[in-house]
Amino acid sequence: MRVRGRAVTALDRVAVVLTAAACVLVAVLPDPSRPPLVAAALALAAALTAAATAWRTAGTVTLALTTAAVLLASVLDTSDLRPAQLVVTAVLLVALVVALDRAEDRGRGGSVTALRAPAAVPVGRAALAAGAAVVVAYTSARTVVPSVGLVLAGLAAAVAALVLATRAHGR
Amino acid sequence: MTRVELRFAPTARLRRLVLVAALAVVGAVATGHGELLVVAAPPLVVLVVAPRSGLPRTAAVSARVGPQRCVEGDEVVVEVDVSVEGVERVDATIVLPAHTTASYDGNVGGSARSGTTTVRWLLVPRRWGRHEVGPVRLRLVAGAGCHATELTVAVGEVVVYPAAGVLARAVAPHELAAPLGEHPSRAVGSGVEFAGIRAYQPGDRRRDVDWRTSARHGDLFVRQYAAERAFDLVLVLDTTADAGEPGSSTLDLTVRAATGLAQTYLRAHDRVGLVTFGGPLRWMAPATGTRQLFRVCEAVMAVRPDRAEAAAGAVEYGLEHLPRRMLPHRAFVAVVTPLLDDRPLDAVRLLVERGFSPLVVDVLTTGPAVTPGSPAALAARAWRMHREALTRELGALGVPVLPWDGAGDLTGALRHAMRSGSPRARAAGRP
Repeated sequence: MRVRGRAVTALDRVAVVLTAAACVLVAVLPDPSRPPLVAAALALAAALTAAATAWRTAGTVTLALTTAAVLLASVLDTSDLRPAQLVVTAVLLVALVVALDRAEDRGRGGSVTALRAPAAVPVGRAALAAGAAVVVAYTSARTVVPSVGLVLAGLAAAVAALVLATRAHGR
Repeated sequence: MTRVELRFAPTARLRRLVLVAALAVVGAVATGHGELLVVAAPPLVVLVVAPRSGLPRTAAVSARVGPQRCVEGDEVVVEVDVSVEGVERVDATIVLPAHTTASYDGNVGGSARSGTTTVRWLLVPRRWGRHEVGPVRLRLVAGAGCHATELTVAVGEVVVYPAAGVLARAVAPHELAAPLGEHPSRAVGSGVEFAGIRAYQPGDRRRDVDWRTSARHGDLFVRQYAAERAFDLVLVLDTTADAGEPGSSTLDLTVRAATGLAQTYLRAHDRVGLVTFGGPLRWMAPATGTRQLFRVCEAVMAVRPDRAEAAAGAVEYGLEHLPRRMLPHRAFVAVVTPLLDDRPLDAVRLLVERGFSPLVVDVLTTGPAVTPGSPAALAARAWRMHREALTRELGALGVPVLPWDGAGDLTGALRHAMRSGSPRARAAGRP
């Protein structure tokens, strides 16, 4: 049981490094330039530190550096492949957040998991959010000509998002 | 189960998702690259599907520990029940008392679907005393790991009695005063143990006639049986200091020896009394029965000075203040001491002056660890010489000193000490 626990802990830590590495590799390749490469190297070093120490601060720094590497690479490289890379790196960033969380929870030690239940995801809300994200991704990848209708639609969407978020996250 | 209100707080996961989204939005606005908003989309989707309004507001928790009284090395079970709907994970951490090992025994009840669970730990207390078990800290995670709250559940107290394994059987001197008991004495009486054969005298019971011996000698002979008497044991515990590793320190061995002796003799229906010196002088008059065993155990566990006593400083009284009724006529006195200073010698001198033949049980098993050639080594040598001098002085008083490391059986040594001591000295022990 103890050996299994140690193996799971080691796997969680390896997952942090692998997720961060995958994220920066996808972002930086295939045409690496110096600033993203430097950010990627720093992010990898931070990921190794976070995996070894399970410190929350190291984890947050890892995430910030990885995001910075992704953003820098995206700004400096405008190839046709970039939108697809951005989608993959965005998903990998969320995976990195989860991996960091798991490694840090294991690193605390002494605690046992008394109950584990699947997260109750509201399907309608999730579909709506995913649809909105796709619209954002699609429109952001295109050159949009500003118009009165577009501005009004954007304002309405912003107000709706604000109201929904306040209701959902307020008690 | 107790129902408690839950107050969830954002976790590191939520803050990090916000960080990624914020960096992406700021980057998009600052650089004018709208496609960077794609990076912000997945974290925002997670935040949308895990709203704070869907979190549970209350939970029902309870904790229990049992048995609440045990002996060192026994297993104690701690169980915690949690009932809460809408959480994804419940992590539990138990705060253990000192010198206690614990193993997680897994979930023993409940189901994830109904949001109930019962977790169990097996605790093994390694040192006597009153131990506060817990609390158990529960961490409830909900909202896709973005919200968490912590609960503290009190468990309870466990009274751990010292392990007793000192004597294989109760031995007693030949000359005993108390009229009723289980120890065969030299006096002839109505016991069951064979004591001898003598010629028949008028008035002897016919069933006591030994027909085989009578037939061999052509005259009547009767069997004699040993009278069964009780025994008074007074345990004198030196609680001046506690030296050595926790679990096998001098105080640990002292209380284990006292508990073992009391248990063995009280089971044999003897009377056991207790005196502790070194700090405040405490005593308990000899008595018999199961109640006395518990009283002795409780008194023995109180020898470790509590915080109030330690803060007030030790108040020392010698055995000369002991009431005379505490040491009954022909009682056997066992002094359990680490022999770290002259006080046990003074106590033994006083007992000998009163006509008792005490036995000293030396419970110091370790010495100071020093580097050879250092000034500390010289001090350690002087200390050893002082202990040797103490032992010699006790020997000169006719008091046997028995080293005991907590593992051996004291039966043989006790028998030797009881039967080699001067009966006259014991007979003169009337206070």
